[in-house]
Amino acid sequence: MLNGIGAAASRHSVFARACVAVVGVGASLVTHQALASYEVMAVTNGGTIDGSVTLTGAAPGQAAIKVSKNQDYCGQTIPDPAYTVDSSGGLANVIVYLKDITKGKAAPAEPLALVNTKCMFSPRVQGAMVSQQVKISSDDTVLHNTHPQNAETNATIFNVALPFKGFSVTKPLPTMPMMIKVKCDAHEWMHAWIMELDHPYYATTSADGHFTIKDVPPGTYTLAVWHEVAGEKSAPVVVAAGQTVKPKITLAAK
Amino acid sequence: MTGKGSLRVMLQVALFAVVTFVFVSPASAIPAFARKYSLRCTACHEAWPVLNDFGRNFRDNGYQLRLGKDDTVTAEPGYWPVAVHVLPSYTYTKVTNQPTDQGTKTLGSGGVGDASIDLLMAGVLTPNISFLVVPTGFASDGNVHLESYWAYFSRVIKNSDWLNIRIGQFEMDLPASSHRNLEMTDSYLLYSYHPSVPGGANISAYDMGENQRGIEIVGHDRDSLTRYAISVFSAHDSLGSSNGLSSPSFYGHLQKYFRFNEGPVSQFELGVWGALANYPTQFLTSGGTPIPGSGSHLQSSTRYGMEANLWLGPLVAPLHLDLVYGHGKDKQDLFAGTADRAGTFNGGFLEAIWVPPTDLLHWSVFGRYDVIRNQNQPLIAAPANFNDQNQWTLGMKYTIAYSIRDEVALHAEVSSNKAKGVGDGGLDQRTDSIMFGVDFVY
Amino acid sequence: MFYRVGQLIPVFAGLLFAAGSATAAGTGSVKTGKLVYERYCLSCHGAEGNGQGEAAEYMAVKPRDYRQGTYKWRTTPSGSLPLDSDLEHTLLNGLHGTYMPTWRALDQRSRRDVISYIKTFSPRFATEKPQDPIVIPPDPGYSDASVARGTAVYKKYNCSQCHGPGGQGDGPSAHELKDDWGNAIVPYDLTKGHVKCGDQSTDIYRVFMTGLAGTPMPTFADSMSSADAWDLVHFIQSLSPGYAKNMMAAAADRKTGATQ
Repeated sequence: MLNGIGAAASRHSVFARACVAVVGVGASLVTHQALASYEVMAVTNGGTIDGSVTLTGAAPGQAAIKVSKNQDYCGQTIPDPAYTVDSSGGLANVIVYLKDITKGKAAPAEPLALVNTKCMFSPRVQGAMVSQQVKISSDDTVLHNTHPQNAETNATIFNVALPFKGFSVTKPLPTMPMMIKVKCDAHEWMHAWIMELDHPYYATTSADGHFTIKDVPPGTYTLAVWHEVAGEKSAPVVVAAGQTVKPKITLAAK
Repeated sequence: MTGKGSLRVMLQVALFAVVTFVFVSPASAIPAFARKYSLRCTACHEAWPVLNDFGRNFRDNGYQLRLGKDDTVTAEPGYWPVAVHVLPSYTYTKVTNQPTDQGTKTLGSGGVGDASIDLLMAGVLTPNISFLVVPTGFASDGNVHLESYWAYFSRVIKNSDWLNIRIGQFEMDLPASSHRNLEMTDSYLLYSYHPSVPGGANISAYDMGENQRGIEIVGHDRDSLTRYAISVFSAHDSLGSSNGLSSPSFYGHLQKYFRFNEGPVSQFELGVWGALANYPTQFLTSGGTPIPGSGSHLQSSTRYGMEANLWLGPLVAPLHLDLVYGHGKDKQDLFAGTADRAGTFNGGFLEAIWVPPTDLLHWSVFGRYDVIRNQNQPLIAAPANFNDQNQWTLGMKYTIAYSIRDEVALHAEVSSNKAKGVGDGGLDQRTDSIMFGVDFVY
Repeated sequence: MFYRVGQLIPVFAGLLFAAGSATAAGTGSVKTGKLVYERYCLSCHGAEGNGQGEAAEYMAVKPRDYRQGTYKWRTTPSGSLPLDSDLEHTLLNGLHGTYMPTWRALDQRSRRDVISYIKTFSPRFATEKPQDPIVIPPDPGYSDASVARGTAVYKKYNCSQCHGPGGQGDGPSAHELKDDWGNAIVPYDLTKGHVKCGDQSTDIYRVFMTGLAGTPMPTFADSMSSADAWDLVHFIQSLSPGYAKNMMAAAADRKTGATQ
């Protein structure tokens, strides 16, 4: 009898310890995020990263998005913008950013823009600094809702209705760096991405795959790229004072 | 003592054993509700099977959480309102000063009891009409009886909790339930005690802890912090009476809970209660057996008193103290001509339940001290302290697992009762018990 | 012997009060809150607060995952953490149509304690403060004129995109909706006469202005005037005989606890 109680109790305490361990991990993650703070300083002799991203291999054939609702306004189909590649392979909508940078230029003063237009988000992808404001607007007569979520956990950041044409609203982004996936629940094909970083050294490739990151304090960094389908890649980059470095980055089509 | 006398004492001991057995078996914990509402047993039970505030409110509301999941229509189709409760246990009991042909002896006996099963069937029939049916028995003697059966009409006045009606056989609204208590080796002396004439009889077998047949009116505020219950019943063990109209009995209980948002006391309760059980003392007989319904000359057993409950520490894992005092009186004629006067006594108990603040609330530790002090012996010549009793119980329960489906717990308990002058040759008698059991319910 | 028993008393008292000792005025004890959680909440919301307790798989409407700090019933704007009083409101009232019952029968200390514990599941509560609650102006009162204006508001704000032209939850975007956890979710049928988050007019008003975090229901706080919102409330109330049509009736109903 007494042995029975003892055995059960020890099983129980093992379980209790496991619970405590899980809580412990959660707490340490928070501490880690809180410590990663960015320091603003004057950058007088910064370098420039002026590069391009090209897609190797043929972009896979993309079926047009079939519009399932509000066809009278949105049309029957919309071209899939996942791979936007120009004639020389330049890949648009890639976020290029530095890792391991803890001090440098000030945060952008202007809010981001995110426009609901022709039943799509524009731009498709963009970078942002933590806590930056985003101005969300609609050019459409149908109801949209702009619903950013933490891409990893799917946690809602906010969810704002854009009930009619010409409406706009400005909202702050989260205080923690994260990848944000924006959706419109009313039109399930609408997506956008915002990469939120704790520093302002990021850029998005233009239609020809070109990007520029300015005022980088001299040093060696990791340059990383992210594309919604082609994935991520990173490589070291050395930035010298007053110089321009021109990395050519390739991403393989998936 | 003569051989006839020893037979009588033996019969009394046997009766005591049967009574003990009955008290061991029916304890209510109804996993059907856990299944229905997806809650663990702990949601309604402070320490299973003792109800907590949430469980009391749920029961007062007619087994309804009042949120749309109570209806038979919205319940999961797989839900079936039946639960099984079994408590196989080993009990050893030692009784001193028993008469034998070889002289006064202390006798002990132990064994794994012939466990019985409670089938608990309870639920909501339609909004605001609920039911409970508990067949008990199924032991090797083959007997099954309905321990409890009732229908409960809640909110008889629209949107008011102050009038609810229960009809059937049910437990009285006692200061501490004798069907949902933790102790298994003894009973609440205050509920079952009767003054007695040494070797004599008492027509009243009224036991406050026994379920009775009748009607109960219950009212409470929304959170069941102020409550009343009034029952009209016919004590079902009365001779020569077949219905409540010929021997009406009454029980009432009024209680109020007080809560404190700061300090070591989290909740306090005060209550008053009283019972008047009438028994016919004269009957027409047929072949010496009383004819049902022919009883007359009603005589009463009265019991009344008050209670106080105190919860120390957080209500979720409290030290719960329950102090109950009562005064009892059995009228002279209940003693079938053997008494000189009415018998009166005072009694009560202090019960403590501690739920240690451990992870998942697996433990409960409990104890009780019962006291009976006779005031007027019905036989003036009897010793003033004849059958005065002191009784203590200590136990602990470890719940191996709770889930929304079942619960299984280990139960260990010791108890000791000392009664003045009831042993062989007027000696005191002491009864000690120890018990280990596995209590499970599905 | 007596000496030893005496030594045990402070140990016993310590064990007893340890759980409650952290209680400060106004805020709950996380330590006691864990016990409250284990007693009442664990079976649905799970030991890790992820909404995956043993009972969760049998439920059509899933228990809340506490790890993200998103709560439907809030008085705070979209994106904000809830106030403690918002969480207590849900404990007091439950959520109609789900397994979440009212926990009114619990004492307030237990409710405060469990709120403090539930907040530990999301790191957001340690780093963010809830925003100020939205202001709900007084209900101007149910009237046919207001319902008529509300009909136009329902059209203007394209509510029918999800809730359908007749409010039955059958608009063009009603299908394939998902909540933050990937579970299918449908727009509320506004003709059913009960709102999960409460049936008073202020409850309906609040849903427009705060949105329902974790679901497709967005906030209209930035686009809708309070006059439009009240007209819309009255239009929605007109869709069902089950809605209490004025504040006084709703308040009286709530007092008696009639939530069936």
